[in-house]
Amino acid sequence: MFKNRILQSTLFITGLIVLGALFGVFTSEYYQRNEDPEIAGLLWPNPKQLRPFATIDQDREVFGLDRMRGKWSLLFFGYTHCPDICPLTMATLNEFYDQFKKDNLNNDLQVIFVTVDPQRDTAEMLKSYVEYFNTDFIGLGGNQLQVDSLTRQLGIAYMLYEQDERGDYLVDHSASVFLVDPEGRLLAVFQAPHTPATIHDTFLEIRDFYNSQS
Amino acid sequence: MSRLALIMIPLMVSLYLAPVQAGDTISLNIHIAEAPPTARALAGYGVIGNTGDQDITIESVHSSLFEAIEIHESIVRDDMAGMRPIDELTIPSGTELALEPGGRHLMLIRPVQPLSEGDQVPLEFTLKNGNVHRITVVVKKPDHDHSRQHHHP
Repeated sequence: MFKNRILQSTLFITGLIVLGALFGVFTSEYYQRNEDPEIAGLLWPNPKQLRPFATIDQDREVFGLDRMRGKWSLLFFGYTHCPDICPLTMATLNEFYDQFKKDNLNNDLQVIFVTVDPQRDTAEMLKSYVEYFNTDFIGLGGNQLQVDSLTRQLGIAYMLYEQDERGDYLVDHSASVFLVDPEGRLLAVFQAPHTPATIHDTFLEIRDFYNSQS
Repeated sequence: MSRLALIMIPLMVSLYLAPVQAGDTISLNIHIAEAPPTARALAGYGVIGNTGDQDITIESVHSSLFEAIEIHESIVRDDMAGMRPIDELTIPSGTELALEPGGRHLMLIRPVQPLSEGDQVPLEFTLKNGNVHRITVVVKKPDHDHSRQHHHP
């Protein structure tokens, strides 16, 4: 009887240990899978929550964090006097977006161009600029402080060079495309060079992953 | 008309025309990429060839439809995109040089009027040897399939 009890207890404890180990293996595998989904550019498991900011859109309306909530936002930072890299990236984003729209996948997606040169890029210029590429696109500017209320949070680096004799100047700026999720978190950074196909595939992969987490 | 003018006008005309007729071995296959109507800077792309046995150096480019034209190179390094002016562009003998999106290009600054697809733009290339080549190029919708971005995934 007594021996039986020891045997029962031993079996019970062994069983607990085995169950615990199995649980450990499963959970660690589960978490590992979710901590590292191996999607290029995905900032997981610690996406950065954005704080409120205030920029001005191409229609002179305030554009803050509230207009990102409930939507996916793809952001590119440049300046309209940029004749090469910026139009190239905007055309790539347009090609990606057009395909997305054809597939009816664009309902909760907004593509945003943010100028880092708001002194020259007025709302009118931004409007003409973004709408040339796609009338659905949003252009953000304001004054430098308003623009920086967004760029600083995303860690966007840019540099304005000295003016030449004509009053023109060059600007260095981030070449990446930034993805903010519907909760207002910086969820991914797509590094240049960009193609419509890589943005399309990576974005869908990230959105699927995001949906699997909620 | 004064006698001086009678001599000077044909002389000036011949000086003006002379560089165009010079026998450089340069070929200029250039177009301008259409940009948003308010764009203050446009890009020129294409191929410049040199079939001769002498290197050719382009010193400057001008157009009556732009306040200035510079030769630029786009650079993306450590995620920062920027442009750097190139003082002069040398096309070694027997080679071709591509001006392409994301790389070397003409930066056409401050158009005097909005330009769109199909518009013709006169360009004047001044070479280091003093010769001037005048061509007319067309404004085209950008064709991104041939950009460097696709060549370097």
